[in-house]
Amino acid sequence: MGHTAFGALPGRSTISMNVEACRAALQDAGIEKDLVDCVLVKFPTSKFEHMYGHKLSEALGLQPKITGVMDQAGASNIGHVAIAAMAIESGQCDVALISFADNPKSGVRSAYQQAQGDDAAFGWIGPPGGFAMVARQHMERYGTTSEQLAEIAVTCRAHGANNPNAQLRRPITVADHQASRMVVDPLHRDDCCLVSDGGAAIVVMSAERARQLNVPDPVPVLGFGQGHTGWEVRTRPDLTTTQAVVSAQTAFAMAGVSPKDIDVAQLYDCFTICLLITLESYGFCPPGHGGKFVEGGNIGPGGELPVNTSGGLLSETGMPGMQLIIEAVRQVRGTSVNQVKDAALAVVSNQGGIMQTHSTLVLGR
Amino acid sequence: MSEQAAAVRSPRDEYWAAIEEGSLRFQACQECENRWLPPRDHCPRCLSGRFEWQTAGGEAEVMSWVIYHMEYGPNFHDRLPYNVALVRLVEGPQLITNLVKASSDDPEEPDLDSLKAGERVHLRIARWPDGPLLPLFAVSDRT
Ligand SMILES: [Zn+2]
Repeated sequence: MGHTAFGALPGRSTISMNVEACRAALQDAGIEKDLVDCVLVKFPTSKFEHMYGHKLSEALGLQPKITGVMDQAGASNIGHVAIAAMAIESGQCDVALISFADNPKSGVRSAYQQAQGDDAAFGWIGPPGGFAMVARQHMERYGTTSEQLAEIAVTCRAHGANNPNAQLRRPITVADHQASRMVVDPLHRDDCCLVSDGGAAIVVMSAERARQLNVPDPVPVLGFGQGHTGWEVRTRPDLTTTQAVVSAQTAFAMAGVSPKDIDVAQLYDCFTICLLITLESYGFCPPGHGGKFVEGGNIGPGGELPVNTSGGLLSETGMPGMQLIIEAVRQVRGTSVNQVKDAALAVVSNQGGIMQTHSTLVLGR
Repeated sequence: MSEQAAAVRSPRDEYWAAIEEGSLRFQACQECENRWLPPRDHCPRCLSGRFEWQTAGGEAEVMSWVIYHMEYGPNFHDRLPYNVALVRLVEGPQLITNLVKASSDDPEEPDLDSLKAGERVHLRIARWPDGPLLPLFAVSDRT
């Protein structure tokens, strides 16, 4: 695995950042690029481009057996890990490079402010409004509070403060969160993730191949799953739960583990409420209990379930999801800046849209 | 309207034409019991293309709502802060809307401090200044 710097990277194209991340990932795996016969990459969120996998392959000087783009928004990175694993397992390819890069901070950002069809006439525009709608229903139904959402931001920002590569390293308190400006009520600014330039990549191969190639410290993929709610917020009968439930059940079953076995979790935190609902969907606590679960340092160091130990989207980088996979790898290797003692099993969630898409990855030994 | 013209009018066009005429309509499947919005060509439950339009009675309940304090698109600066709500018609279909004061004829931003999910709201087809006619919903005045 490897990545670029995170933050503002003016003048860098997304292809350039992808190549830098891929090069770092190949160096980390200790292999030559010519072994790669599968290149999977999500096209940059902020600017759709046709045949992006082929463009990246050209920049990498490769003519792979398999390349392309699967559009699952923020869930794509784990989705690509799953495709790579299945392709390797079935003999379609041998070594896969999976990458993502985007430059919404220095480049165009319009995709993040897209109007939601005809509903734009009501001012229903952009992801913060969508997640605020989800948050309100959770608050109304279960009594979840803004202060509980703040606990998530406080934890991620504290973890990010220890991470030299994090984009935002200033820790905050619950009071700071409450004082941060209201963006879309009930969400404050500090409930919302960063906007970041950057790239990250990983290499996937079979355990046998990793042994043959003497890959230093490979981390086994134990399970993966997906579940796609698909429907837009306006047609969803219930905003407080999604097919993340199915995604997690599939991944946990494949890995032969249950939520209580997990040592550390890297959960997609584009907005605090997203992480809170994921805790419920994954079975770390019952539906409606997410607010209580995150209180009192329970998701911090030494808590019942440390989450987002490199800072997550709220602090490390706002890029969608690959950094969470990489931090899970570090935790299993024992090299995180916020290392959980004896972490053997890590779970990662990726999701996209307003919780339309979801994928889950279990790593460990 | 000629048959040809009718053929090129999409369900979305039909929906907004009815709003212009002062009624909120939703689609009802003629092969199963499903009723839905937003408008589309096929029933998302049984996939039949045979549907009829039914007119909403105008009663709905609030499922959730938000208040924008920042401008995300053009044209909303003067209305900040403004609400967006998700409501469910008593007939079943759901839609995105703005909640407005019951007591004034022209749309006005209501006080939502004591609003609760599940509260009943009533259809009010009206326009914001310089905007199109929209299906808005009136929330009873706070005391
Ligand atoms: Zn039907």
